[in-house]
Amino acid sequence: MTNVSAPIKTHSVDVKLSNLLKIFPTHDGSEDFYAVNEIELDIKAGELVTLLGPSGCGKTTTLRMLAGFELPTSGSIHIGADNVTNVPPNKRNVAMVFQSYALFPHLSVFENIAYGLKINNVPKGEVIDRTFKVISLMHLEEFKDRLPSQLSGGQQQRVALARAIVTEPRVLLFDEPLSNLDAKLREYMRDELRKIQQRLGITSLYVTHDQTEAMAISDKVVIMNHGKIQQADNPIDIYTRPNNHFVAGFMGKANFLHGVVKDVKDKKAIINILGQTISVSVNDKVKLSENGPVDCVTRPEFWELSEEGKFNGEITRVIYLGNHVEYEVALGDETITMMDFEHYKHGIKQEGERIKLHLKEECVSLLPPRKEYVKEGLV
Amino acid sequence: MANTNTTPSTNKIETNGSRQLKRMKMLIKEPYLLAIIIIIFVSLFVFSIYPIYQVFKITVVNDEGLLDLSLIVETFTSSFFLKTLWNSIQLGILSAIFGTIIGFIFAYAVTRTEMKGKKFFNLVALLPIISPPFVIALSVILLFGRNGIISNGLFGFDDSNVYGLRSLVFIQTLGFFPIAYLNLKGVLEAIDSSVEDAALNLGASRWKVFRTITLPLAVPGILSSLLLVFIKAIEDFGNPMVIAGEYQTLAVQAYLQITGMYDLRAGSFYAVALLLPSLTAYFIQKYWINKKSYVTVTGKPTQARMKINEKHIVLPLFIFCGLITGAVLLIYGTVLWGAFVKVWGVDNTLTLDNFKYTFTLGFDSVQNSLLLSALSTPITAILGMIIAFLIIRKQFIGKKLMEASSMLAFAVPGTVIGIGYILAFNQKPLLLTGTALILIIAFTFRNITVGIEAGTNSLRQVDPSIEEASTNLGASSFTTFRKISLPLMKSALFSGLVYSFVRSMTSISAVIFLISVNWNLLTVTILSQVEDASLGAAAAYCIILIVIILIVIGLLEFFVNYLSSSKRRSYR
Repeated sequence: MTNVSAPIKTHSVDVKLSNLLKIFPTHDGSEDFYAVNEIELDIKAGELVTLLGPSGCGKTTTLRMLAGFELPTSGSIHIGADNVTNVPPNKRNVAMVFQSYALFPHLSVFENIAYGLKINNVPKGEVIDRTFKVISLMHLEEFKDRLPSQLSGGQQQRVALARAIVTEPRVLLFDEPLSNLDAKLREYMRDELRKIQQRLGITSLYVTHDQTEAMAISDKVVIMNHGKIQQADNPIDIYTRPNNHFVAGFMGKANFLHGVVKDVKDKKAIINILGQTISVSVNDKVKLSENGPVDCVTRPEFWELSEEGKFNGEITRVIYLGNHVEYEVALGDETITMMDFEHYKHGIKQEGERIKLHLKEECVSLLPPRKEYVKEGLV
Repeated sequence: MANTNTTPSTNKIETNGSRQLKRMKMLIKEPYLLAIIIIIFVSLFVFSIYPIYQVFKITVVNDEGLLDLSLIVETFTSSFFLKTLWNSIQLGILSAIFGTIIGFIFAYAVTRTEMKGKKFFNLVALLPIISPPFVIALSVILLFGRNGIISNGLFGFDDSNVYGLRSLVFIQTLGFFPIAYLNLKGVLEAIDSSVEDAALNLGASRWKVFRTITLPLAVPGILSSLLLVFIKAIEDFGNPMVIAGEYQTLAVQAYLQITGMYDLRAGSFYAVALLLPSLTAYFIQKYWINKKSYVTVTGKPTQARMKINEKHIVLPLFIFCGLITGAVLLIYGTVLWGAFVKVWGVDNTLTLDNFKYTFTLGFDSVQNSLLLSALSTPITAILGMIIAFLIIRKQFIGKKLMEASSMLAFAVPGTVIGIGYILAFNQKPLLLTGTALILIIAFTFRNITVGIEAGTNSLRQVDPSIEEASTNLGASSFTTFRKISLPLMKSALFSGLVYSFVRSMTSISAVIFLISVNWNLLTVTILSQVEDASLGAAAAYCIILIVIILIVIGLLEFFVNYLSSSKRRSYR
């Protein structure tokens, strides 16, 4: 879709959100709602950072504060060297791609894209020039005279992106831009967005609730919940080294198993779970003490069917998904979810069948036990 | 605030205060916006609130400027006043009930059945809206009066008494049922068809569906129609003036006290007595009933409604609508005919004499009405759109106040505005009485609500992120309004233009106090012709008025479509 040479100039800058707080008052005068609770976030020049989290976690509010549509209750926002905390939204030069695209329904594709240039009093010849460059970059030539209502969802999406980048913004903002597309198109557009963003090198903040999307396009993923940042890392660390239960559970599936530390040496911990002993790499997320409690994060793909497996279980549920089969397995008092990608070899098991499981111990990561378990003495 | 250790309550107070402060700061950064908000506030205060306050004031303050309640006590104990008050209310209630029933049946037939001729019925029902209300009174005199073609010509009565409550209820029902019809049509159309389908699907009969689903869901609409027609009927000035006879109403008495007895205070008191019930009804309608509405705008495209096609339902509805439509056509046909005959009921030869007479008598009032309406219409419509934009999209202190005060001049009876304007603007620095300006201002502020309503309704359906996108690309509020919001409010702008023009051309109750020798208006001329019993000339003027309105509506429609399509290249 994209042309080889990028005709758009970019001004890569850092973005810094410091101590950002946004409180919405509730109408009935009860306790205020902390939409964004004192977050700190640095985005390096040219990076694409994703804000990921369930609805109501504050990700969109954060994005809108960067755009200037919401004013922070306190804290500051810097774009490059400028403090833009109280700069009105039309003076920030940050372009946004809206969830609904927000194309101007009464203007043609060309006029939509040229709008930002005209508004900023760019000379007419240059407006035409630059608009056509972006139109060809986005392969919109044949649609340039159409109205938005005459475009498909994917085409509208491209117009929305074209309109955002034509003004050569300092920062590009995406508010769940792909949520209105069907699954196939979403994957395609996701990769296109990323390619263009990388080619132009525009510092970008991307909001989504889709974890796969976040994994696929981000330099850095920021997981938010209840207005707070839970973890900000590259996608690999987010998945393999989650900070807490929320991150582990939100990013992919996770079985949390409660264990007791038996021994720690050479960066390896010997842990008792489900009556068996496993050896797991120590990390910095948890302080281990002998005979102390610990939670083991075991993802479904860490388990495999194996005659030599230490763990004995009974299948309680079978979900056939084509390329793999998902089983729920009762292991003693615990139930875990596992995936079998080699079902053509193992056959598809039935509910009630007894099986042996092997755990890939080298993949397991450790977390401090959840407070409630400690309290209830369940460890 | 960064200190989260403070107790929640102090924290909230601080944030509220600083939020307001921040809003103000943001406003100051957009000086255009701030200036416009201030200008609108000042003009609403001067031209809506202040004149109404003057009307209240004069009823309790005597000529020496002292508080004096004797007028109120006197009037309230006078049986004449109480009779007049009761007359107005009785008239309002009767007209509201009949008008709403007819309006509902019309709306149901048009929205729910496959009845033939729906477009035609719809069109005829709009006639009373675009013509001055007292056209119907004039026509009723032509039909049933002393020389009426039905009373005298057909039945040979030569002493038929057409004046009084019965005629008045008939006229106002026919004149104002279209308001109920349009209101209820909107309500019935907006009820999600799947709700009624669900009831049918569960085994309910058509009648059951109507009684248990459609009617209950339409109740808020019915109540608001009742109140709207009630307000219209009690504040109507033209019809009672022409045909009430001995049956006195408040609006007419207020006028007669001032122009006949030169008693400004008594007149004002009658106006206030008129104001209270109508204002109460208006705000109940606006804030209480509308809140109860079941109609929601989802933006989800609804599937086409399955229309009723059973003969035993459609036929009675068709006959009913046919009868009402026939009556409306008879009324307007009579006026048309009356404009072309020599002496009504005596010499029925066709002639153009009446039109010649209107030209010799003076075409000034026609020109004045046209000029002043044409001047105030664009101001009203654009101002309406701006206020709608501010109310829906902007945050500023006193927004609710702006909304309420912009409705005030619309909600209060024209009589009150008329009297208020003479009281408020008869001395320097605001010496406006006798000028054209006072008429333009009266038109503008009385009609602005129509534009605001249309504007807010259409803006609510525009995704706010479209405007945010414009802001995000660097446009100021002003530019966004001009380039994005206003074009998207095109249809609202059109209806704002049409309504304010029609209302200006046909208004009488307010302007009758404000006209002067130099600035007489068409509606007032017609009224005086009726009073002089030169019915032919009155009819001719009415026809001229209606034709002008139709032409202007056509031109406006063409103009608005041209404006938006000239930029559109062909793509299909």
